[in-house]
Amino acid sequence: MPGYDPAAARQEPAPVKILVAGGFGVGKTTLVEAVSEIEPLRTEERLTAAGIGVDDLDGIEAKTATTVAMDFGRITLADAGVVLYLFGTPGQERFWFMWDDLLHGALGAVVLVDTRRLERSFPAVDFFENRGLPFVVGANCFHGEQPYTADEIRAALRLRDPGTPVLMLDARARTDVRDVLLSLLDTVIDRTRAATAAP
Amino acid sequence: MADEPRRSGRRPRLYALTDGRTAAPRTVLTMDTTITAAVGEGDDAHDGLPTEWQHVLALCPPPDGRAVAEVAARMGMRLTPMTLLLGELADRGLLRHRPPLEGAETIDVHLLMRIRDNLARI
Repeated sequence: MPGYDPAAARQEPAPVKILVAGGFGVGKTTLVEAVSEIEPLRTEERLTAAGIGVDDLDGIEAKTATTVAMDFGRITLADAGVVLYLFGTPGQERFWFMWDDLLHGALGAVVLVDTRRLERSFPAVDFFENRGLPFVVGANCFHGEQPYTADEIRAALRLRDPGTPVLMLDARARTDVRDVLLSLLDTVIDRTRAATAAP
Repeated sequence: MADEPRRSGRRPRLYALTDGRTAAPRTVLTMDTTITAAVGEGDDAHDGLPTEWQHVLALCPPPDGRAVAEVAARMGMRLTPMTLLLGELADRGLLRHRPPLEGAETIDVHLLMRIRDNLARI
């Protein structure tokens, strides 16, 4: 490949993507900001899909385009030789479900839920379950309070895998967010071990 | 400073950034590819380049480089035009690229453990 020098490229940390999903206003960007070593950045992509909500089948009109924004931060893990990129949507989540480049190669996801508006997180849960992407659930405790237990939240979300971790967190607290990411890594490790142990 | 967002009121036109070339670059990059400048200030190959290209290269200095998504965000460009521009720069040997971890590497338990251990210490 032009410009690709394997010996030199070995030096650079490899990017690893983690997605942060959940309903609008649940604190995704706050979560990213809490652990990122940079101020969260915003990038945009223009997605085109045939006929989203359009019943006019006439040529150009049958294609609609929408701009999707992503907020992201990074955590360099020098000893592991990787740099984690945490991508969260500021809104419009239904559109990034079509964004294959974003999902491709992602290590896993954090689904952030607000228990006062739990239904806003159903699409993200369904989506990751259907795509087989490992995820953990973080219940954001606004004002430091959470009236529900992890089991109650797990039941209300009707998680397909009862072993899916549900953690309480304050999305503003770095250590809370780190613990959620550690839980996600544990989930990915368990799943990988199970997959390699299978006959 | 390299980490400051570099945004202007208007997006640069893609044809201006790609030096008029409109053919797709041979190098195909994704948003999570790491790119690293292969030339820097003071190199003959660098100093004659368009200013926008120099800005891009300044955003991904060696040794660590930067992900394509981050360069796009800092340049205030959408991802697709940015990947085309970076592909063009890679074709010309102005930057190196490292593809994201995929397949066997992502399911390597030892690497996952190293990531976990490192993360636990942040």
